[in-house]
This record gives sequence, structure tokens and C-alpha cells, in this order.
Amino acid sequence: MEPPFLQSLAFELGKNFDFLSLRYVKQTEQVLYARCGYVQPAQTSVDEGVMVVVHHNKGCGYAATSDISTFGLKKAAEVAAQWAAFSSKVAITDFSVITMPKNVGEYHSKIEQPWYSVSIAEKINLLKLCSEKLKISDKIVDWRSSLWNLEEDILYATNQGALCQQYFKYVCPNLEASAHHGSETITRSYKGRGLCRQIGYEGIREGELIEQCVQTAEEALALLAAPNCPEQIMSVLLDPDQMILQIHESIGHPLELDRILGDERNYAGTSFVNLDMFGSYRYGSSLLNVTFDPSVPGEFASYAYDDEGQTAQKVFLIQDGILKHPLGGGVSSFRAGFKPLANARASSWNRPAIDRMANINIEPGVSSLAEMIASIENGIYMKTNASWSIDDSRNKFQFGCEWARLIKNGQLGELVKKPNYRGISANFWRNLVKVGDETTMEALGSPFCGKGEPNQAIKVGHRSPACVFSNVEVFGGV
Amino acid sequence: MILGLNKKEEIVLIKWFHESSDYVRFSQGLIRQSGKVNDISLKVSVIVSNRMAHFTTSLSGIIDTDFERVKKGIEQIRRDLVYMPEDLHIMFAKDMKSTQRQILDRSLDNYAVCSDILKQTANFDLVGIYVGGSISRGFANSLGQLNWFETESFHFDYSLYHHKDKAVKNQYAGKLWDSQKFGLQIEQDKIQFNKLSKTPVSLKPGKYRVFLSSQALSEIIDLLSWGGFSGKSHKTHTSPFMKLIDGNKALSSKVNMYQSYESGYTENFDAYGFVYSGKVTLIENGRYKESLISARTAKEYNLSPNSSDSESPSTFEMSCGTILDSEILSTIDNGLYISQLWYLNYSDITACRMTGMTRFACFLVEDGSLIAPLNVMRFDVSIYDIFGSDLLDFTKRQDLVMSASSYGGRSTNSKLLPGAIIKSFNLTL
Repeated sequence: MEPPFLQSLAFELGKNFDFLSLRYVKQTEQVLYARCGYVQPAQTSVDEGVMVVVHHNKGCGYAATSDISTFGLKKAAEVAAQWAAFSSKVAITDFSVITMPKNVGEYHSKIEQPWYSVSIAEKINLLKLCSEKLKISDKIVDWRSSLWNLEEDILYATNQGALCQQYFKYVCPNLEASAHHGSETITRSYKGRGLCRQIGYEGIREGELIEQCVQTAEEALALLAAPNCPEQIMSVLLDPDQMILQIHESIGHPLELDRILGDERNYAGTSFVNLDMFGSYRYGSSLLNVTFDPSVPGEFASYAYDDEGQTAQKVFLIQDGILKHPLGGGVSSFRAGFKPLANARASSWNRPAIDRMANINIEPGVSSLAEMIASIENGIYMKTNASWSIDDSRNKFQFGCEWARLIKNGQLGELVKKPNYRGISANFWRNLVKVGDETTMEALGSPFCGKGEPNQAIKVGHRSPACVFSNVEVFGGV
Repeated sequence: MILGLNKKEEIVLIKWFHESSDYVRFSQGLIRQSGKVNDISLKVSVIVSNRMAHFTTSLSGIIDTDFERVKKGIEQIRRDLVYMPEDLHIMFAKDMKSTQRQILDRSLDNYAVCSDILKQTANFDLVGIYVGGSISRGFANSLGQLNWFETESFHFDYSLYHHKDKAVKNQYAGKLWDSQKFGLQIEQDKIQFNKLSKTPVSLKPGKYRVFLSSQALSEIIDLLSWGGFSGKSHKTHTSPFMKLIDGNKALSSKVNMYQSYESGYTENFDAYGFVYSGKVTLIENGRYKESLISARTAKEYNLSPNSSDSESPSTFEMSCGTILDSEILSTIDNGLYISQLWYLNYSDITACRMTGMTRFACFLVEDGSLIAPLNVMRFDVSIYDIFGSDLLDFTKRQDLVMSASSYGGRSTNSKLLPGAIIKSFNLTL
């Protein structure tokens, strides 16, 4: 699909409507995977389609189709218009008065080594090597390595002149090992499946990946032999590969404006945040600074425009602990009276855009890892998310990690397994007592953030330092 | 046409996916988003010399265009196969069992249905998603087998919000929209809805006697289906049910779980041409019986396949008990009525211990009467307790709970579930 063709089609199909947009998405994917020493069948896929959105006479309708011929898109525009007409008297807002962006521009993921410049033979050899390196003991009963590549072209054109072209390239390697003895099985992964970035094959870093295979398997065995995490109120030091989950569930989701407005109440839930809180509510300690930042090179959800053509810029959501700005795209922000962020996003062509977090990052502080450990009298250092659960208002949570070491009098101590902690978001962030410096920062991500009706899973990025929280209810397995 | 592309030494397998659905999203009793999704895709697998690779492509519905796409995909597979190692775990059907199943009634007018929804819920803060349309799945292979499944249906998953987080949640699904039936359902919902007006109660952490509705049990089964019944997970000791499988633990003898291929609204063939029938007994009288085995797992461990690649139930059934609907409240006596659970996850997989939240219309029960709605609470329980010594009984009535999931496309999964009375259910926060 060529951008000028899409643009001319948007003008042609949209000539009788207040607003019409065409969002073309092409996703080309390759998944290579080995389990228990066996390389699984290679999977490649190409998914291509267009989402047509019409605003007219106060209503809004959409039609998504994999038939991207001129005839197919004309039919889709007619269907979108029919739904716009049906909803015009019962729409949640007056879509005709929403000013839609008219931006023109491009974005390209910056990569050094294209994925397909490396042969499938080399990649399969890497997976075989990873498999050998993960199986370091008979107690390792399940071991997995995978390489996932996604290339995504998104072209967005409207009948008002917007034309945004974005070309993304993503890579996610993954390693996991499960160790078993008696009636116990422990799984350890490399970065909790979170090593997701906009990058080329240079992101694989084969030597490092192979080293990590051995470390991952060794840690699984060590955890198998370790005692259960004790049950206590203590300080918790969270590494970035757990912080990503903490940020995601108890900052990202509660700040999504469509949740605050009530649109997700039947499925993903609401928020303990309400519109009056912005500008004054103390969300966390004064050490907490959280940004929506689509400009970080290589972070998983960086982009120049959202899926409604809004220009994306860095914005503080929480500054010095005070709640500043919600995560609202064009439609929600219009309804709520806020300036929009560029976070109206869809998983693919076959879903309409809704308010989605993208890169939600914690800005670095001043403490090194050693300083943070030294500051803890009675606590625990946890790494890598294993389990997550939170209530529908995003308040009462319980999270589990793969790995932990106790901290006593500023020293790292015993390794423990099945570390879990629970809390209430509003209190938890106010107990943030240390924020790591740049040396503790990592940018991770996930392609599996689920939300919306119909459901859609989207890519998110979280760049975070290690952080310390006080007075946390910690417990372990049975 | 596509099957004509294979070379003599190749076996080609094709899986077809199509959905044409209208989705209408409601919020505050109005329409938030409405539209149609028309999505066709094809998965092609090529097997040659004990090597296999897959290619999936979206289709436009225009034969020449799609043929070229698939042809390119097969050429890509052939290039990849040269470098794939020999795969000892390839298994595909060779017995050419062709089938056709259609559950159709082409009179679904989604505009009329949405008008009816808006009319019948006019006085409510309605939030939810209506989806109506057709789904088809197909399989063919170069040996001559052909399988087809097609259905036209609707699913309305909705909540009626009273205030804050207090709401009644329900679903209505089927082939033909029955306005009268839906109206009666709304009238039933109103009974619980009106009880939400009382001042909610905040509970202290502790153990409570609870009733879990079929929809609450559905959330528990969804979590258990995440590796719990998988043959591969069993063989690699990563299943949450390992203690049950090893015989170290048992559930109550009242617990029976099945994957059924006799009922349900989904296809009974997989991407390798295996056609499944009958029932797989997963748990019988509280003891582990069988796993769900995909073709690959079957080949690896010399078993018979009885499941798709996911190795999780598509049509789940749980046996009923003896408690009548009219006896539920008196059997609780003093405890909690829990209509929904939410966001479950494992807190300790080996112990099959899970955490989650209560949600929607949950009530305090005293002396067999609903007293007040509850503020949400977190729970942390082991399956070996709540379906073990702490299980009192299941209800006699079973409900058909259709999956509302639409990640990537509409799910056709379903569960037939009773409700359950649990003597001791641990609330933690």
C-alpha cells in the first residue's frame, strides 16, 4: 500500500463525511522457538488490513477489513458510515465537533542490522546452542529459547489531509528454564520475557544470550533448593524487571482516561483516580516522577504519532509525586476537557483505537544499587515478575517474583523462592523511599498488555530504575 | 487451488479462519464505538522429509490476490525448510476423516438487536459489548481431507452499574435474539441490582463461607486451563496440578471435569487434521484422569492426540451437585454470595494456590438473606482446599458460560458450570 494512494483514497471515500480516516497496517512476523532441545516448526506470518473510521452527524462508526482493494475499502467505508448513522442519536459524545489532527510526517525504528540479513540457519543454530546451554542438569525438566521478530508498517490518512507513515521493527529474545525435584518445580526466565525493543538483529547479542542461558538455568536450580520467602512486613527493593509490572498495573492502567470515564467498567475495570485529582493529588512520594515518553530511542512503544495521527511528545504524568496528566487520546480528552496525549492506539488494523499506555517510565533518581541495599535494615531484593493480580479499580494488588534475596543490616543475604507481595497502590507509591540512578536503569517492554472491548493486546514499554519501598507485606509459598 | 501447489514429496495442511462480526460497545447507556470486523486468514503448513514450517497470511477474499500471497508463503516455507533440523515430533492425520458442521440461522439483524438493547436498558447505566456475526473454520490437506465448521451467533456481555464499582454483570448469547427472553433476564438482573443500593460492607481479612456462582467458577477454570490440563505441562512437571497427577493430593470426589467434543459451539478438528469426538475426562471423582494432548505432544510421548495445540479446554464441563437454586442462601446461612471473581493468577503454582479479587454484585449473607453489597476483597486460596475438604457441594443447576474473549478474534469456547458452596474461603486484603 503506497501512502499517496491511501491519501487519495481517503479524500475520495471521505468527501461526504465530516471525517474519515484510513489506517493501513501490515505486520510481518517470524517466531523461532526451541523447547526441551527440539527446534519447533518455524512460523512466519503476514497480516494486512485497513481500519476505516467515519465521524458524521454526531455519530462514529468503523469497519475493518482484510480486503484492501479499492472496492473492499469502499464497501468498508459504507459500513462504517452505516454505523455512524446508527449511533448518531445515541453516541456517547458529539463526534462531529472533535477536531482531529492533520499531521504529516514519518517515523522509522533505528536499526543497524536488518533481521532478515541474518539467515534462518544462523538463528536456528543459536537456538540449538541456547538449548544445550540451558540443560545443565537432569533437574532442568523444561527449557525454552525463542526469537521473535515483528516488522510493522502503519500508514494513516484522513480526508482532512493527515498522512502519517510509521515503520517499526521489533525484536524479543526469550530464555526460560524450569527445574524440578520431588514435588517442587521452579521456573526462571531472562528478564521475565521483557527484553522487547525496537531494534534489529544487533539486539540479539549472541554472546550475552548464551551466557544468560547458563545463569538462568543455574538460578532455577538454586531457587529449587532455596527456602520459601518468609512472611513479614519489610522494605522491598525491586529490580527493573519487576518495576515494569508495578508501573504498568498501578500507574499506567489507573491513569488511562477511558477507564476514568467508565468505558472499561464491564471488562478491564475503572480507576481509583478521578478527574478532580489531576494537578493536586499526591500519588507517590516526592521521589516519584513518571513520564509518558514516546521519544526514547529503541524503547518498545516509541513512535511519532498515535493511531489517530496525534503528534507524540514526552509529558510528565506524575511530577515530584503529584498527579499531573491522564493518559487520554483525542476522543477521551475531548470528553474530559484535557489536552490530549498521543495514546489512542490499536493492536492492529482489526481493532479501533482506544486509550492505551505506551512508554510509561520512571525518571532516574540518585541512588546506586549498592547504596540502596546498604540503606535497608530488614528487607528483600526481588527480581523478575512471575505473577500479577490487581482489583478493578487498580488499587489492591498482589504480585509475585521469580527470584529474591533477603537483606539484613545493609547486606545481601539468603536466596529465597516464591517471593510475593501485596499492597494498595495509593499507599504503596507514597512509601517509595529510594529511586535508583542511571546505572540501575533498564528499558523493557511487553507485547501482551490486554484491554478493550473487543479485546486487544498491545505493546508497551517501561524504562525504570531499581526502587525501594518501605513497609510492604511480603510472603512466600507454602 | 492452493493444495495444487504442493510438490509430490510434500504434505500440505491448511487451516482457514474467518470472522465477520459487528461489535457495538456501550458505556453510560450510550454507544461508545460501533463497527464491523471482516477478517480472513489462512495458515499453511508444509511437511517434507520430517521437517515442517508454518506460514499464516491474511486474505482479501479476492482469489487471484490471495493465491499469489499463499504461493509466496509456500515458497518462503520451502526456503526455511532447508535449514530446519529433522523434527521427530511431527504428527498429522492420515485417516481422511472429513466433516461438516454448521450452526446457522441467517436472520441476525444487529442494528435491530442494538436498538432493542438500548430500549430495554434505557433506565440503566449500561456498559458492555455486543457482538453478532458469522465465524467459520476449515481444514484441508493434500491427502484429500476437508473439515468445515460455521456458525452465526451473538454474544452480549454487559454490566448494569448502580454506583461506583457496584454493578450486576450478566451475559446473553445464542443464535437468535429473543427480545422477550432478554427482557426477562433484565428483570431478573434488577432483583440483585436493587440490593446494591444498600450501604456496602468492608470485610476484615479471614476465612468465610461462600457461594461462588457459575461465572465466578468460570474465572477459576480459566486460570486452571493455563497449563493445568496440558499434556506437555504434565510431562515437564510444570502443571499447577502436579500434586494431583502424582497422587499426593486429591480433590473432593464431587469434582468431575471434562473437555467435551459432543456439545459446544466450536470446531472439533485441529490444524493437523485430527477430528475429536466424545469427552475427555480430565478429573474424575476428584482424581486426575487424562490430559489434553496435542498432536506434537502425542508424537513426543507416544500418546494419542485429543486436543488442539493449545492443550486447554475449548468446551469445558463440570458435573453438578444437589443444591437447588432455592436452597443457595439458606445453605450459605452466614457468609458471602460471590457473583464474579476477577484477575486471577497463581501465587504458588506448585500448591495450585491462586489469588484474585471479588467483583460486581457480591453480598454479605446473614441468616440466609442477602444483607448488603460488599466492597472488593482479595482472596488467596488453594484449589486443593476449595475443591477439596472445603467444598460443601455444587448446585444442581449448571449454566452455559460462553467465552467473551475476542483477542485476535471471537472465541467460540464455552463452559457448562454449576455454582459451588465453599465452607472456608480465605480473604486477605
